[in-house]
Amino acid sequence: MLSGVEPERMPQAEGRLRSDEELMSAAGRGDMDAFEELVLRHQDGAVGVAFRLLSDEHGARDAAQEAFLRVLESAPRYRPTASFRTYLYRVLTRICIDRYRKRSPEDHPDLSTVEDGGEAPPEVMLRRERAERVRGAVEELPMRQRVALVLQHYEGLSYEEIAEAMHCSVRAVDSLLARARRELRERLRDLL
Amino acid sequence: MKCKKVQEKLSAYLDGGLPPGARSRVSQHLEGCPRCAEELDGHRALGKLLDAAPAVAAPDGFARSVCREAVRRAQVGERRRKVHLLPRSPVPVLMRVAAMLAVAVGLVSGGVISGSAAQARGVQAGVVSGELADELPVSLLSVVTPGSVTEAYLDWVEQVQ
Ligand SMILES: [Zn+2]
Repeated sequence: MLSGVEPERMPQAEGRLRSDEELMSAAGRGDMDAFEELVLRHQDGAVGVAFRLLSDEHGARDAAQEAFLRVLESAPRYRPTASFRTYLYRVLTRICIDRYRKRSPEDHPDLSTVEDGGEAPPEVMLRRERAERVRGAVEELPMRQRVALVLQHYEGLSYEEIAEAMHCSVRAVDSLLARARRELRERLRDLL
Repeated sequence: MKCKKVQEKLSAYLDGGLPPGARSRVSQHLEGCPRCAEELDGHRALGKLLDAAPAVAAPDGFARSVCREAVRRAQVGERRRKVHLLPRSPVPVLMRVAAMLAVAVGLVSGGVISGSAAQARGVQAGVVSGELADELPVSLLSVVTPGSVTEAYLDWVEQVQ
């Protein structure tokens, strides 16, 4: 969008998709097109993860935006030691954990998208109810178990990537996931 | 391998998180142990159930609004620096983005940075004023692309004036 504006933009091979790391390095030189491309690539994952951690759609968008802005701030100093996605999720999950802790007890999760629709056929109601039970059970997990589960199950990160994102050992990830699953199977037993 | 040990490893087994040696030992055990095999089925069923949870994706225009916010913050940082003579912003990249945008806007509009956005869009001649002038890279030339961050910046200037 800002073509011609960035004096330091690197030449790129015709038609070749730039890697996340290349985009990040370009964003660090002030290339906003590169930054926007990065956001477009990862926005659904980021908003999705934040929603599963916060159970609040507006809060999720806000947390995801904050994560992308922090990533942009850090872009000039960014050294790709892990994948960009892992780095983004590390920033994002910290923001979510922080916000979740700080939110007041009166803050009710915004589930407008989940619960809207009013009158619906019984099978739809049943599916919604089931979805709500699962969401609630995941929300009741201790935060670190929830983070590990969301990154593993919904985002498909490997144990190594989760360990990197959560700043812990692979062994700890293993234990967090095992406990999360045990807990969920217990709570959702009647649906299994 | 004992059942307890195997059952502790079932999550990792399903997720592909086990090293090859442990993986084949768990496989071997599962073939001969109906109890652990049933436990594995339970894990699989939980996986399916988890997929029933509601999901949310980014709304339309999300990336654009993140970019706008980046520009807005860069602008705020730049103003603070000018007004309070603070040391350079702790977010240099945002400042550089702001400077580049301001420069782009200035060149497109004929160089009016401190005027109103309405003027900036139309006026043909003017001066690049303020400290930004010091940061002008001479090679910059641009047009305002509809929907671009530069345009977002112009909209923003219009809003705040
Ligand atoms: Zn067994």
